[in-house]
Amino acid sequence: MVETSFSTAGPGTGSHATVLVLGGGGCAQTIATHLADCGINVLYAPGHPGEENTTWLEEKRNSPITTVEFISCSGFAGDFRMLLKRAEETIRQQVDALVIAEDDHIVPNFKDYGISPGPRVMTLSELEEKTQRQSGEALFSPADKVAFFNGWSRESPPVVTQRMLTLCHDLQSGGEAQTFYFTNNLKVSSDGAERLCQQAKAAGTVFVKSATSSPTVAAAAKGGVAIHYFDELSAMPFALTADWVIVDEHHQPSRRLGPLAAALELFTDADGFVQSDNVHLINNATNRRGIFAAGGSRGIMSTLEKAADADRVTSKVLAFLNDTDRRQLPVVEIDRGRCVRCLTCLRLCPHAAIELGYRMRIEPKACFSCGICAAGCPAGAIAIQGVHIQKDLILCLDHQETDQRPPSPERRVVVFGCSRSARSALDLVAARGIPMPDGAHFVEVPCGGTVSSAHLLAAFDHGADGVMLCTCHLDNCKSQVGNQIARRRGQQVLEILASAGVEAERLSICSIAANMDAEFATLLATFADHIGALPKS
Amino acid sequence: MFYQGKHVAIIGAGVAGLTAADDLAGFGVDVSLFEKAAFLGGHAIQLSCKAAPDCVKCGACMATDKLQRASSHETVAVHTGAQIDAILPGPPIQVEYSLLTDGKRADRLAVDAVLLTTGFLPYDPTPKPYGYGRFQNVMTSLDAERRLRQDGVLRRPSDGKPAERIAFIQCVGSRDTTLGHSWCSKICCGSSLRMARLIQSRQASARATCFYIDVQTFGKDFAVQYPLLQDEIEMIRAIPGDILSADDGDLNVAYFHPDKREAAEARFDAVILSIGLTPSPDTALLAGMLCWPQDQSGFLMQHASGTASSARGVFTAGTVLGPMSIAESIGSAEQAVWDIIHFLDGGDTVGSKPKR
Repeated sequence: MVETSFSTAGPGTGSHATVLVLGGGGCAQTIATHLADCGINVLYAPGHPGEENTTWLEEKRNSPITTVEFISCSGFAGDFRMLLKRAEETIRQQVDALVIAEDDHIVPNFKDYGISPGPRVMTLSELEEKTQRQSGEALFSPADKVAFFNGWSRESPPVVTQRMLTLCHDLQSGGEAQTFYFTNNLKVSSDGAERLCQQAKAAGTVFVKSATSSPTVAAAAKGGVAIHYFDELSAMPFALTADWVIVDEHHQPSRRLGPLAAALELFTDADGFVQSDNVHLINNATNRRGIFAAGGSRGIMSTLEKAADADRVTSKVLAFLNDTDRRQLPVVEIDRGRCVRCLTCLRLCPHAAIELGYRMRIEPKACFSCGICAAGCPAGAIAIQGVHIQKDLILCLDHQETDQRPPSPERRVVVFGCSRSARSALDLVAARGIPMPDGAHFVEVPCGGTVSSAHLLAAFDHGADGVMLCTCHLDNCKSQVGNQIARRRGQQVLEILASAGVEAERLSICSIAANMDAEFATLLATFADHIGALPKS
Repeated sequence: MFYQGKHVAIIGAGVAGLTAADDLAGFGVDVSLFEKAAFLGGHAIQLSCKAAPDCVKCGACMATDKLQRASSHETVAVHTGAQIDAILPGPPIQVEYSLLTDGKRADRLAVDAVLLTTGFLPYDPTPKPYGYGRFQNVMTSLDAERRLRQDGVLRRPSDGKPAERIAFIQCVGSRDTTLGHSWCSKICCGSSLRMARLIQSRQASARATCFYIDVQTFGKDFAVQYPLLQDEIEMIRAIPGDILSADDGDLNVAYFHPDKREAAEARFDAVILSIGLTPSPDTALLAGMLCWPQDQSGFLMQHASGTASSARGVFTAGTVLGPMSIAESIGSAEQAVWDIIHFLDGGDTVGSKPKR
């Protein structure tokens, strides 16, 4: 398929690039085949070898797909050093990138509804399977009452509702059974779900929505289920004996995902999926360069969405291998004379970009140049080329005469702001024609985490009357924790200021987003005015 | 770069178009980005940040990010104020366009592939019995977004006072059989509830009430956020029948009270109509030009195998395919990028499996 092979331009050795795809299931298989078709050597670690259909592996591709088992991983983007098992043999292998596409795990909600599985009580997946397998022979008789339980105990993911609505609609409009749909917030946001719901309703499905009350269920004769419910609109109680009950399901991360995320030093979200819940990672990025998440590893998706995610992540991997973001690699240096190997940098780095050897080393390919390590280093041994906060500070405070604007004797304010948020907001403020308040100076930093306690104190030292530290909002930091670290450092400085008898309001810690221009303008003006009103420090 | 000499036209510079432009330019493709409006970024760029004060993952700031990234490539040529007159099948595909800004100059461009990212049309609620256009303090969700973006607070259009009692009415123009709109617009529940929370956090005395049918899941942390929202925002499961004006620019909202089971009226000083996403008239126009099928709702039909159409070299992404969040629009564009580079490599994406 590919005339120009991607592999030759892969980073590292110049030979064919190698990518490890972790995870069983359709999404991982699609990614593996896409990559192999593009001439990339694929190592495929399904997690449950032997359990799945492997005929697809034998098809001819531009590059081979080798089945392996994952043991451990060290190294960095472009040079991950893997310990793998191949046919009972332990091997060491260098890989350029990793994709985690482990399928999620589906759990039936019997317990939520206080009901047990039985011959006439089954899960959504079981009914789907039966419907697909059935050849002409009807599962139900037209007089059968079939009750669907969906999302009245816990909120249902839209993809589950979509599947359930499809089955309910088909039974009802095909005249195969009388259907009842018990729910609360009906999740119709999947494509076509609202139409299905309207059509099912028109064909005779009874929808029961319980917001404040819950139906009760009990076993009835012949394996049926007695359902008592309260219709909240008419305020009337109803009883129904269902011949069949179909119970919905919820999705969980696979059991293998947690340990895998830990082994690869990846952040996870509140539900345990790989990828912290952060818009900067949209859609397949993780906190580590060269490691991508896809499909059921990063959230709850339909089969179609997983297929789309496989396409998407493939283009992201190709982009990474070809370095299409033309990112200039950061130059980060550790001063050997100063470094005492205290491992603070190793502990702080959110991107696992620091190598612990006989000497500490920062891998440029893995580094996001957030500067969290540099600001945290007790020995001040780390320098990022292009980031010189101290110099910027001195420039704007000590050499004001070189500035175009007349120096303001009233007050001097330093605003530290992240290049991703405050910088953009400030540009938009300027575009509105609003200038920086007199005497206020903006010091751009690559991340809130680049600002150390020493920088904050230095600002006061060089004559600032007020200092503002603007980070991205919590959970909106490209480096995930840079803003939290900045806030902690700000708090420490507040304590130091208090002990020196300096008013706490001279240091303001706030968060801002790139599109908060109106708010930022107000914030700057208010702070500058406030500092102006304080006695000169 | 692998695709040097390849040229792709992207029609529509909303968040999907900008994402694709950035990614394709990264692969060395020459991109011509056509936008009807005078500015880039579409609807997403006009949205306000909803953090209150922590990030609520609406993705609006990503529009700014994508705009900056797309604009940073020398190989992305931007044409604003553009109108597409015709797309003629290739190869090479001919795109005929007019630039309306400099006195309607018509031109033609030969490209290897075309990506349609023309987006949606926000529903115009004038025909609904909510007095939009007659009562000053009845706004659409987009009107409210612009006001928030401009001032940082929500002021009443009638007198400029910060709004205090605010009603959100969901599903205006969505899930509405009388209009033939048999779809859920997906994004409005999340956008309204996040906006309500933002306003309440900024304006201490503001109280929001949300009239809804079903609350749709939004965000990965919905399970955590939704119970919190229920404590903070008055949720009434009813869609109001109509809105009557009261004195001082206030509004009386009439609805059926679901708990008391009787007709009720509540007074608000501003009403925000959560308007749905509908197919844009441009969609029908482009569908006609390209013989691209539209779905029952009027959005472009997504090809079963991806973002390609039956016309060779033509692809789609974003809300031209149906309602999507910002994250989904970005995702849709990224999927299209894979399909396009695959196509440029000579692979036949349309309905075929990857070549063995």
